[in-house]
Amino acid sequence: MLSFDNDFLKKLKKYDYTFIVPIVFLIAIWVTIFTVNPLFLNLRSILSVLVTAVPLIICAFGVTHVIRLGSIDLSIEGQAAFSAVLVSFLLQNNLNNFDLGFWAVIIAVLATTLIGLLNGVIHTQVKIPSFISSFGLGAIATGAAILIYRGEPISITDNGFRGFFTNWNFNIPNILFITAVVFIFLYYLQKKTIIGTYVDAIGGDEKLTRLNGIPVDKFKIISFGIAGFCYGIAGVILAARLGTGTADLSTGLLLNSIAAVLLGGTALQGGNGGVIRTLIGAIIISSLKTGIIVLRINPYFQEGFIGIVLVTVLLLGAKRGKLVINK
Amino acid sequence: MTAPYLQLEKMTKEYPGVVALNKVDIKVNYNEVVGLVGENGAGKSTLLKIISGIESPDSGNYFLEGKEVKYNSLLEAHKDGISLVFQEQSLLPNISVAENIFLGSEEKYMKFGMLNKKKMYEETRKYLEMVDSEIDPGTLTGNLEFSDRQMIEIAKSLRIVEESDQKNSIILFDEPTSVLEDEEIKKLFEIINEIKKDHSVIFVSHRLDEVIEISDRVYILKDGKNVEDRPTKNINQKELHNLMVGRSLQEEYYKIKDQNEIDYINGKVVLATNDLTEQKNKNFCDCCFELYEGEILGFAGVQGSGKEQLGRALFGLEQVMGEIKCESYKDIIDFPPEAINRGIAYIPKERSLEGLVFGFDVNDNINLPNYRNINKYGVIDKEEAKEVSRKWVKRLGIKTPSIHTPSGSLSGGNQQKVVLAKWLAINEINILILDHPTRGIDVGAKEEIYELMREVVKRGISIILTSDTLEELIGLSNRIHVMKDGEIVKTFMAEKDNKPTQEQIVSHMV
Repeated sequence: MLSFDNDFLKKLKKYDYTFIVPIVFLIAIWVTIFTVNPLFLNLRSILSVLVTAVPLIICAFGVTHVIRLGSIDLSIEGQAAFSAVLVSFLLQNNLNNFDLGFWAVIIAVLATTLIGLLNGVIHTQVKIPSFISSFGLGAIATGAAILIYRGEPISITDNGFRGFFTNWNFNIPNILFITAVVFIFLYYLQKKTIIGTYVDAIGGDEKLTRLNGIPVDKFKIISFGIAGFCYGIAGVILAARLGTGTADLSTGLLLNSIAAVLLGGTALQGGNGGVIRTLIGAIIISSLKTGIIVLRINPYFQEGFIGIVLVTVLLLGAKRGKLVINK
Repeated sequence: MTAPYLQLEKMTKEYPGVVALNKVDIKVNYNEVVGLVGENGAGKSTLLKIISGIESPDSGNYFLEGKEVKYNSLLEAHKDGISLVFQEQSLLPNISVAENIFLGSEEKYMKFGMLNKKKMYEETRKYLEMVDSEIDPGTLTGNLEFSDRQMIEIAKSLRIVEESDQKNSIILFDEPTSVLEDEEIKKLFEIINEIKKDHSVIFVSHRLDEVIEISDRVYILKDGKNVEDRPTKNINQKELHNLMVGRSLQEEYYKIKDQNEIDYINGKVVLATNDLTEQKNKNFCDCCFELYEGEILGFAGVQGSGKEQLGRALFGLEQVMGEIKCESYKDIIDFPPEAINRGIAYIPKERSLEGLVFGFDVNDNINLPNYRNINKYGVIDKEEAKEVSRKWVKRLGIKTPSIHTPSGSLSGGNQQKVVLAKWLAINEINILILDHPTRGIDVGAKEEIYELMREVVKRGISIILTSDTLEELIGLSNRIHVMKDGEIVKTFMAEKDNKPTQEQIVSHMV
């Protein structure tokens, strides 16, 4: 007789099915795309879909840590825009006659990291909900970005910089390497350091975590800083890709990033999930957008279509039963 | 004579409106298991919180191995080898067993910012072995059974005292057995006996037989004072219970001379149930009872006997089968508005969670259920609302600076009066379900609540009562139903001059 039945069922029951639903969904999208248009079945087109998704993926990585804390960050678009404009301003462009080169990238990313840390400080020390503090700081960052170029778009003329982010090496686009580095860094942070454990613990129960003597505020501030770091990189990539720095470069990133995190199966109440899930979630969104074009669906449906998918996947895959609270 | 391992002198702790501990003295010797018993609100949990550093006392001295100490947090106490096994578990469900056991002290396993999980898991196994548990350290804690989590909680405490590097240490158990099965309790006792070889133990429990079995000595707390301490060798459950409950029935205290005489032959039945059964967990089964006009009907029973759930069911807060006959209605009550339509009001024991909207002022709280009567097309008649709340503040003697004071800032007794006022303000209410109405309020305020209850039943309102203490239940009730394992097993009449004794009731409770 088969003796696995009881144990097997138990394991199956405990298996985290929220991980499976997004993957099945992603495969379904690509199978549909390939059946409608078999010409799409080549590495180059798949890579180009990934490349388009890079700013979204990196922003979503950043906000993943914040969401695992049980907090939320609404400053994604503001910070990414600020970074994009700042980096274009500091590089050689049509308005200035100096070029900080690679330092411009470092300064821009450092600036958003500081904004992120400040976001965490305001949230934890002034004790206001993160969705308010981040909303305010995001608006300030957008405002600062507009102030830098005063309505006149900055065109980057430093081709070395643009090339670094847009060229291909070994038949793979450079920015995919950058994304991989960011991913590995965040994955190790989540899996191998105490930051990862504490972030989960805080998301699980902040009061209990405090009772164990863990400096909760410190780890919250660090997480918001990491998020800022990611938005900064995304902003730089956006600027490099378009060659100009304007404040509306990042439009749409906020909702899509949070949607990507949720689609991947990280719960809004915090305490679980991670960057692998977010990667899948972000690729789903980007694939959907491609799919809409390949399937010749009226592009006016795009936003609504993504909304429907988001709700459907969440209904199927989300761990529910616990009240969702935005801390 | 050497000093005891741990000694508390004249520990006093006051919370707003209630003295939780009043000059309590306690000694724990090396390698001794000390039991701590007392009724709800006697101060057991507060005492443990002070010993473990979660709360600081208002006054009193705390000696450890003869030296005076002062702890401002749990962690400071941990460093001296004092660890508390929490009653409500302190483990996070969404991280692994190993991560829980080492939460907050991972430095040992850090190298260049990386966490060596393998080593941490191995170390975890060592502690799990101590509690005889074979759980994989990588298991997600939330996936485990409650009793397994209890063992992990103990393993965590062992880790804490071991890491403190003290020669002697103490582990505090706050009601560890309340949810365990017999088999698991046996295992727990084996572990405690093992712990005793190296450490001291304080053991708090509601189950007196267990306290007698496991402890060497037992302290009895009552109303925040310690009554006495006894070696457990020559004490039995009954004696212990008498010491715990203490004072004899006080007629004056419970206003017994004002008790209504109920005519059980011709009197009006205002509510009757038929085979009422809770659906999900069978917390109570086939309960049949009748409530007469002007009666106070008490429900006695140990924790888990289903008495609270029965009360909640009458207000539509539990899923039940059976029949609730009330006025012209005959079916069960699904949700609170139905209950209110039938004139039933419920006063919960978790005043802060279920009874009051803390951010609201007194006026809004009193009128909250009443707004449905004093509005015109949805617009609230504010003047009438204020008049209603002023009237009730005056009638119940609620001590509040004004009706616009936030309810959260009142004392416990006055908060409870606000809860009572909000239901009494509705004219149609004629049945009150009181779930532990005097929990967490001081003696003076209790007396006022008793007076109020007598006054209310004089007006023809009936009360269903569950209570923290049997003494209170006997003192107030006209009749007492004893519940055990979800069934009504015995009914006592409790007329003015013929009250049952606590022993009589207890013998049917256990």
